[in-house]
Amino acid sequence: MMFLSKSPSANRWLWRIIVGGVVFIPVVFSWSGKDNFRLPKELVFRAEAILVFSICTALFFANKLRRPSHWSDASVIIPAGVVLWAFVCMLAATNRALSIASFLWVSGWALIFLVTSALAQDRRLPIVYFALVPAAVNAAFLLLQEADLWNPFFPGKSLEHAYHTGLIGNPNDAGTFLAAPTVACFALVFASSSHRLLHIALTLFLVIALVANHTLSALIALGAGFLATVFLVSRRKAVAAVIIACILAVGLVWFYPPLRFRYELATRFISARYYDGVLSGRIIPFVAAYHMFLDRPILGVGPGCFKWEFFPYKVRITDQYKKLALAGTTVNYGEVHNDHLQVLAETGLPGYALFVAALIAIGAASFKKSSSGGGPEAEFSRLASFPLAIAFAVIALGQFPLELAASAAVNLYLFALCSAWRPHARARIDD
Amino acid sequence: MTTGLAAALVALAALYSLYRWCYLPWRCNAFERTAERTLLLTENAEGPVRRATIARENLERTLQSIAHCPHDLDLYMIAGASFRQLERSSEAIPMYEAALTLDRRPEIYLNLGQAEAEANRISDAVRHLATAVIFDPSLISEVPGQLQPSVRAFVQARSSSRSSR
Repeated sequence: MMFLSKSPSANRWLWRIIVGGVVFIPVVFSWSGKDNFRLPKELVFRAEAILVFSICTALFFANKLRRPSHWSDASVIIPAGVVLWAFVCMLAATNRALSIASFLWVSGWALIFLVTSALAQDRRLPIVYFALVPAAVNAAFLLLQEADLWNPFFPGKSLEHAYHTGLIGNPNDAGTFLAAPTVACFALVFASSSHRLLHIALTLFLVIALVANHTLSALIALGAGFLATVFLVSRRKAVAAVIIACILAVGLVWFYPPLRFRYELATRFISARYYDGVLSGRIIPFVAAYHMFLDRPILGVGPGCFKWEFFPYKVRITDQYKKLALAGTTVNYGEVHNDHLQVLAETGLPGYALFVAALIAIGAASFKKSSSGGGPEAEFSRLASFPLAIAFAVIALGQFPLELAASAAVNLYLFALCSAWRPHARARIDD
Repeated sequence: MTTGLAAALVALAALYSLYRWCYLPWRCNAFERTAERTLLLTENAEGPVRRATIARENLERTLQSIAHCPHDLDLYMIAGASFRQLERSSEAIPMYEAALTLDRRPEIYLNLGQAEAEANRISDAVRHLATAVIFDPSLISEVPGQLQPSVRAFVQARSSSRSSR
């Protein structure tokens, strides 16, 4: 076995905490706080990480922690490397006090990923539903808000899309959150013949919610994830799937008013050479992150320090790029809205290399052949790993899934399941 | 025995961590909403005595919350606004300076500059107000009228020196 404790009751408690995190983080909110959505989710994550760390520490002192039998396993090396490099970058950060909080965030998620991956190895396919339940709840809320049927958080503002947030708190964040569970649900349709109708119905439900939400990055990520899944099911069918996807995309843009409006706006912006409008006013944070990377290419500005450094870089960029028509010149960005650039700016080239290596390690599980027959779990890992990695890489181009507790929880949970159920991990359990 | 002791220590540490990093931030988040409403209430309260009483109570609770959540930027902004409502602008300045160690936003520079202007620290006020205006030129309308020419001149001088480089 890769990594488990020798205490069955400790394993059970650890699993309950992990499941509690992935189910409750995306749905928890506060009625009475200033920040009703993001902070409550972050606090539940902190509680989860503290409890998992405490139990693991107690097991360590009681000599009941099983060490990994395969230290060279990518699912151990990469999280360890991420934590180590984040620590180094934190020491060199431009604002160490801010960076410590981000380092703890990264460490907490790395620990949760490792524990989930270890505990999931001898569990069955239905544990995927723990990621789908909060997605379905959020999708239901989103659809009720979009249809102007019920919006308990923003009464009287139902018609404005900015207030259609599900339980996530922001429409773009909600779309970012829904992409991974939808891709996973689609993989379930092909991975297991039991409950197929349920999986198809749930996939359709989540897709409808995502279309209603119309976050562009999420829709493109969904398309990429679905196509990758079909490619893994049957390469011949993938060609037909690409054609159908193109027809659907054109149909969606033509007949669905919000997307049609965005298309028309984008064509007007392009003909006026107002490229920042096409990118929703994000050239400034993108260029700021790039310049931060150029100034500190190895260590970056430090985890969590993009928002600290944004002010002086933004002033420099608006001076430097006066000829470029820039939107959002008065917006103070706390995130880059592009996790690729954010990781590059905050942790330098080695940090970005680790980020890419993690995605490749996850995605590669789809192309590993199993010596034994496998089962629905191995088939799910094969059909979901590459699509989830692709979907994540795409959505990280326009959003920031790593910085949000809800999307980080569900993405890392699904990545951990894919890692736990990949063929070599399964073979080690069967040994 | 050692294992039991270690487990007990770990359990205590976990409880403290949950209290410090989960429960207290939750309480501070709930307080911030009340405190911001109270700031508005103070503006609309009838009579200077009533306004001062509300502002003083709000300030005391905000300073207690800062002790619990020292990395919460919004609490420093609320404390700064409360000090200014009590016409203690010189005491508001350290609150905004503390906020600037947590984040650099134009609104923090703007409030700091306004507090410095009220405390008659004009050169610091012009510098910080100009910093806010450099980020967002529309904030010039928030600059006290008598300082607008100085702030404009500061911004212009900075812009000229950058162009000549």
